Amino acid sequence: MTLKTAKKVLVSAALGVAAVGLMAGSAAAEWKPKGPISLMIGFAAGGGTDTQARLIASELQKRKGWKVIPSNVAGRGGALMARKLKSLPNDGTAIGMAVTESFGYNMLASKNPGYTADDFTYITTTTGSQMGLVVKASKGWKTWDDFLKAARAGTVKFGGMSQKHADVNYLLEQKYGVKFNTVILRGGRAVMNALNAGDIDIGYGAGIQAKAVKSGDMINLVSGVGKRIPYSPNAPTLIELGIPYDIGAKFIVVGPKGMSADARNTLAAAFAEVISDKNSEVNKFVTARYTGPDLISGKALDDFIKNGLKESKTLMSVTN
Amino acid sequence: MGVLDHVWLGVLAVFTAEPAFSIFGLPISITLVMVFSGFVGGIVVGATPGLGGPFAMAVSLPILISVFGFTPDALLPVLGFLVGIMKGSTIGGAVPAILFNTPGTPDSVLTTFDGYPMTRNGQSGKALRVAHFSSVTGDTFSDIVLITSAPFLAIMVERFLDFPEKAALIILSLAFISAVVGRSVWKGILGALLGLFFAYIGTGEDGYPRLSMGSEELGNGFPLVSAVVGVLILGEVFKSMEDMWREMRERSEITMIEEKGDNKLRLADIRRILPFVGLSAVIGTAIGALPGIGSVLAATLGYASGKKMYKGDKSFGEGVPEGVAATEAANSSVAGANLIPVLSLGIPGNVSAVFIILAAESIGGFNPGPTVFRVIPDQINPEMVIVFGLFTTMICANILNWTLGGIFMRATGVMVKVPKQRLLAVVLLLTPTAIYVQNTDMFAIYFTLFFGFIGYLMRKLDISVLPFVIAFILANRLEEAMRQAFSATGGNPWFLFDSPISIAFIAIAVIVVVFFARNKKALG
Amino acid sequence: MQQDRWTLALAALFVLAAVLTLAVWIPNDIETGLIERFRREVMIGDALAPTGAAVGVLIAALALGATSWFRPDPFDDTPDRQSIAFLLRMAVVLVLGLVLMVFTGPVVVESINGLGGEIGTYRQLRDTVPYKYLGFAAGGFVLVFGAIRVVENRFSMAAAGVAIGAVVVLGFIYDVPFDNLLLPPNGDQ
Repeated sequence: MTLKTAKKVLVSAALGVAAVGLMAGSAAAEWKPKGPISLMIGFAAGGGTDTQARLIASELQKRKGWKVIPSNVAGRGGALMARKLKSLPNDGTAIGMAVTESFGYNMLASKNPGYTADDFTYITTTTGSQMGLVVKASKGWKTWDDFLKAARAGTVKFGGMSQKHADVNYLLEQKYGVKFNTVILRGGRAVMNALNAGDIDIGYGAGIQAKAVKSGDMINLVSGVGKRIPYSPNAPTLIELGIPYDIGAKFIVVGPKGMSADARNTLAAAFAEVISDKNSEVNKFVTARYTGPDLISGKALDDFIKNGLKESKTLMSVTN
Repeated sequence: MGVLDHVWLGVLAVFTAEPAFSIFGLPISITLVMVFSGFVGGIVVGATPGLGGPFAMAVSLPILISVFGFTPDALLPVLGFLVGIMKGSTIGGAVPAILFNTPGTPDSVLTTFDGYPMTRNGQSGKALRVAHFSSVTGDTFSDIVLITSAPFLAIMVERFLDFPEKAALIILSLAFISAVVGRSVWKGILGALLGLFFAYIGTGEDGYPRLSMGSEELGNGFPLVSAVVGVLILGEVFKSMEDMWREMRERSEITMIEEKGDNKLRLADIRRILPFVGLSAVIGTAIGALPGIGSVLAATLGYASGKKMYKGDKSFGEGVPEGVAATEAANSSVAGANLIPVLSLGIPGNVSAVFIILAAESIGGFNPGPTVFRVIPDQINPEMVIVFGLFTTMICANILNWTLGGIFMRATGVMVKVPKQRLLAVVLLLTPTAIYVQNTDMFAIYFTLFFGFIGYLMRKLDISVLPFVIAFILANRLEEAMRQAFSATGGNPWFLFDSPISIAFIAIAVIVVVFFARNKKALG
Repeated sequence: MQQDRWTLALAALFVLAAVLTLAVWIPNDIETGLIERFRREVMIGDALAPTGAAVGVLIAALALGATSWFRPDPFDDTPDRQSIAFLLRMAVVLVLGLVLMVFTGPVVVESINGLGGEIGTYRQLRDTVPYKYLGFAAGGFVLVFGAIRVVENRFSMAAAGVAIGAVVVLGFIYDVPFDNLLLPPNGDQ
């Protein structure tokens, strides 16, 4: 045995011991919920958040033996759920699922949301949206420039899902010297319906358009997230177009503020385990419909929320 | 590959894929098993007041997806189950409507108008048979229309309706209902406007829920189910209980309703109701093909037209089989036609259709829309195979409906032996419980009782509850269509009068109101 | 003519309610106006729809009053003193039933804890037999039994049997097959 190999063995043995120690330590301190966990879903039954939450709940029940009871507290883009959640016990038996916007732009844009970003413990994100500006292929617009030409020639009806999209549209109008008739619709499905029916010419899609784009029925002209969308590589991002915002939302799990680190970490780890397991139904769901597992937790998540708030404030101030 | 090849592949996909078990050496596919279980479950849920097909679909969809996974193979079993629920709950809804004056589903409200008086006349067995026959006939007719004309019809209808026209169409529907239902046009309109107003409490676009007086519980408005079930069911329960209480004080005895006389459905009966079934099936199918207008309006129009057409000694509302037939054929024939806009445009016409779309979306491999019916040369279009598979499951469900549906309804005729005041007392617990398990909030129960009180008052003051309830259901869709029309026309305040179609809709609405206000008493 | 007073009173009531709503409630309890100019976009505000409905109520109520004044059309079965007596009786049953439904479970659990039982809070036990059934059973029994009592105007064992049966069957339908459904009041905890 050379000195080098001996050193390797020693190091790995030490690592092994440390690892076993850590595992034992974590096993001893393993947090367990006192009683059933209420999982409040900030959106209506059948939507993307609802499907994820219910799949996760049944999987957690199977794997962890926890009783997880999902219920829909839908309304005002997750705000109603947030208001209800903030005053519930912070022992990990009351958690909620909504989107990052519920604790960012939408909260700030509301005159009286009834909660602040500090009222919550942020547990983990689950997956993200592939936000795109999408049109029907039959319109004949292949690129953003084609669309701009049409927009300059006459008015176009532009469907968004929140005031944030109206703000981004305003920036686009300023930048390109055009005018849109912006229509706010309730949710991605409504946008898809309006596009299909010809009620609007272009709309924001948060991933719901993926299948239609892949089949050639619709085209993503622009990517709303920081990166280009993998299946629409020719669509520039908003940032490339000179609108410096990433408007992709993520799904997020939160609890009332002041949750113990134990509870927070155990819950985050449990969610992560279920979502990243390739065989789980929820993994298949978020992969088919969204960007696949996108798990941010702990300090990174706190920073993500803070940054989102800052960006939203900037966006609101420049469009005012 | 032509269309006929796809039809054949669709049929094969339903009957041969994945046999669950065999009967006499004949393999029964998992899809058929799912259609059957959905159908039976649908009848039970539909017959349970406070529950309905959409609720059963919402609860079962996540479970079904967990069981079958996200492969295209899962599509037909899951869709088959949903189709089963849809069909089962439609006929199930008529059972409590006829027997207990308690609509099992919102679209069977009008079934109570003649179905319940028939029960009171000892004709519950006949009423159930009439309901079943009309329902299945309407449903089958609707499916045939769907299957033969799916792509063309909806494209035509949808092409002409933009946001302003949609708003105008809702206004027309409300005006029509208010004017037609009830004795006084102005009371009907008052009821509809109150329904709109209640729906606007606690809703709106701003972060502060308007008119909520700062209360958190109204943060998302009154739950739809509280308003509908409270006014329609609890209001009626309170009113009936008061009537029975008064009778008790006078006679201290309660009238039991038993079947008497001939309760069979004779050929003569069928001949009598067939014109009503036919007219209502056409109305229901036409309404169903219009996106966003549901079976409630179809039932209303079917009933109203039947009332117009009817010539007999007893009038509608006094327990005539034609009334039951007109309503049930109309509300059942919506179901199939509702899938026309879903399958050809991806736009659901009602809640059940929404769940079909959701199932397709969640599982993948099937993207309802114009591409579904596209013929690709020398290739199989897998989506077209699924569509024809779906049609096949609908036909299977219809066959089940013709055979087993009637047996079930006749079997539940036993329940009429329960004394009404005791049954109503059970409904008083069942309704809040059913609402609670959907909303998990005690305030949903309190609101339901509040609307029950409103429903009671409306009945005491001779104001029809139907315009109130329908206006409540359509209120937010109307406001949304108005907002969108306003934005889409770049802030044109006259958007309702911008296109010939919406001008026509509004003009007809005004004409209908004026006509009935002037002529109602003369019409009797 | 006696009964048509009800129609006139009804019309007057709604005229008054609509005027108050338009003059006081809507201006003070809605954040945005009829038409909103929110960051350059002109859009319909939250006040427009309720204002439209209230104006409509005003017009319909005036029309109703006018027609019933000039063309009376009395209807039977108007509310009377007996209706109030019935409503009061029902109110007692409903309030008592709901109070029992909401508070029985927590009170029992707190009492056991008070006697040194240490079984945890009701919230933690909201999905544990037998505690999860206490409120539903007590409140449900009172609702069904009480309502039958009001109508039949006497106590009967059969009514108690119906009430117990209803509670058991409903509990079985909603609680046993569906793992994720909670009986009242357990979802509020």
